[in-house]
Amino acid sequence: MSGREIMVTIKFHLNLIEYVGKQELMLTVKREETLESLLRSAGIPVDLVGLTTKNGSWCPLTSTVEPEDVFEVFPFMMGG
Amino acid sequence: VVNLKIVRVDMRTKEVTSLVHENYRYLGGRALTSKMTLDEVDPGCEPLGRLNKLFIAPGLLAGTNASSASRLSVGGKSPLTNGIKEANSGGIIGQKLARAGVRAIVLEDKNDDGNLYVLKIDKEGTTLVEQNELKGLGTHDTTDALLKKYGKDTAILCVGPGGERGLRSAAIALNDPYGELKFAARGGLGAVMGAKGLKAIVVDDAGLNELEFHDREKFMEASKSLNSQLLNDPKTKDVYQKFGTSGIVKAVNAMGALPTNNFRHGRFDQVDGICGETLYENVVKRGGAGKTGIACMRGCVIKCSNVYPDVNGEKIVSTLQYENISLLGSNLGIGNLDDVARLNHEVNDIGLDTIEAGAALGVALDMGMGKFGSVEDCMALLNEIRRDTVIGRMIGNGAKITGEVLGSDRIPASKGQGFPGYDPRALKGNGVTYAMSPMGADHTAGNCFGARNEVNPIGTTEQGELSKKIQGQMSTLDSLGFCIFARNPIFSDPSLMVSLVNNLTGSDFDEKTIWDIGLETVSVEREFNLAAGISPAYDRLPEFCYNETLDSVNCTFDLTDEEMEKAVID
Repeated sequence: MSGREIMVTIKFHLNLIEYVGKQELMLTVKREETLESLLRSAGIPVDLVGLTTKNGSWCPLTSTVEPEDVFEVFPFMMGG
Repeated sequence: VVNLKIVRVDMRTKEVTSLVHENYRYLGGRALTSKMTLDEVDPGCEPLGRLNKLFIAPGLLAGTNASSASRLSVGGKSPLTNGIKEANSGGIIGQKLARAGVRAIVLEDKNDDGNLYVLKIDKEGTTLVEQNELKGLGTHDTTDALLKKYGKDTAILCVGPGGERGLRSAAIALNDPYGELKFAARGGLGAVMGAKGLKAIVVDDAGLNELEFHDREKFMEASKSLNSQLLNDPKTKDVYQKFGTSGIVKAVNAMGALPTNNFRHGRFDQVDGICGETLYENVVKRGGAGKTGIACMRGCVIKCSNVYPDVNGEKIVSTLQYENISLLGSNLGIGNLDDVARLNHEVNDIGLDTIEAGAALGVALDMGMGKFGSVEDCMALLNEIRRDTVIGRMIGNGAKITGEVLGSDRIPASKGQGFPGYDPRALKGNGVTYAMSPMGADHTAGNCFGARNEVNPIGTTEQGELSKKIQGQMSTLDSLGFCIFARNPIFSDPSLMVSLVNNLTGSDFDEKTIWDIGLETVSVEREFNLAAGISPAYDRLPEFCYNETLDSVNCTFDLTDEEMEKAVID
């Protein structure tokens, strides 16, 4: 891992798991990457993504990654 | 279009009249119930008294084969908020009423002969039938008895003992194609129906098909496109048909908005026990009566309902949804879906709104009437309602009355109505809706949860505009009879909605005109509320939301008055 590379974790929920084949990905990525670009690289159709959180708080898809970040990604859906 | 009959039932004289009413030609669902409430109901009336009326209207597109578009609205002055209210639901009665040519049923005055009545609509006409044997029956037994008497394909709309007793959180139950119950729940409109002496409405549309199309072929083309887009949306099969709305439990928890222990916390440490994944796993593993992917209206391709079974595969409840899980689960500290399902079934059978019941129970537990996490304590309190004790009447009258009787200074309610399953401090757009909407704390009036990637849910800007936009959109969908889950294709291609409306009714509306139906409806509702004395001073959340930091998001509800006022629709 070079100085510009960091480790992040992404946890997927519901049908999004099927796109990556597992509930959780640990990735080595560049610092300037956004969550959106990571999801696209992982094969997640971004238009299916609803709520995203970073370290337990809401974050937009444009969030950039920091060392040891933990993201959670939920599909877009509504409550009844 | 000939489904323009307004059926009026005077519950005192038992006179039934049926007139075509051209003035309401292009209004259906919520737009119609709200306009008629403004036109005909004295805003100062007692909601359970003679002067209030109950309006029952299928959405404008009801009865057609457009997917998810046959919801039924009920409306009138709410005994819970003392303002205008509309609640809508799936079920089969919206379709059957439309096919019977009925645009609306209006229940007027109230019965004073001590008998209980059923309103029967079929090819022979509309009649009131005395059925005292239904007195005190729960919604399930009532529905079963009526299906047995009138035929298994009839549509039923009924109240339980809660409605008969005038409990202000009483709901109205409707059967789905499989005999399971759905509820037009919010605002206590079941109490209005019960107070009038009407136990049920039965509709048999055999031999009736009065729905006509201005241009059937073009309508079918638009309908086919809508249905196909919904079917091809990955959410339909992979999310809604598996998990239903329970699929959002973990997401709401992750954003810190899951009501926990009477809205004291925004995350629940037992969330894994009540989430959608667990629901689906239990249904699959237990088998038997358990099912997911059930349509609540004929022809709906989304199919988000379920039957939740016990460990032996016997049905506990249908359908277990997000709101029920959050208000009867985490809000009461209960982390087991079987327990939530049992509470849910009991509330359904008494015929109450599960959201209001969960909010009222939360307040009661918070004030020492039981322990959070104890399903036995919660069931005992529900049993007080069943036995019609004073404590039961307190809880059955909703969160606000429960809190006031018990001396609580933190009642999660706005305009008299209990909060639904999103803490407004963690999803501030919904807080705006709870405070500013004429409907009071009702997420269906403008749920900002689905807009979470557009606006920071705990940010202090853009919330007013967001709530206003969604309030208008939801009101239009409610008026057309659409389920909110059908919104994606409609929002991405509104010409579909235009084509459906114009080719059914013969109107010449453009997109803006149809969206404006929603805004005009909210404006009508606000006008009624102002006349009823619900001034802008009531456009607020309870004080604890402004003073008490929600631990999950470390903030209060801190929007400025200026931001809130952006959501006013007048």
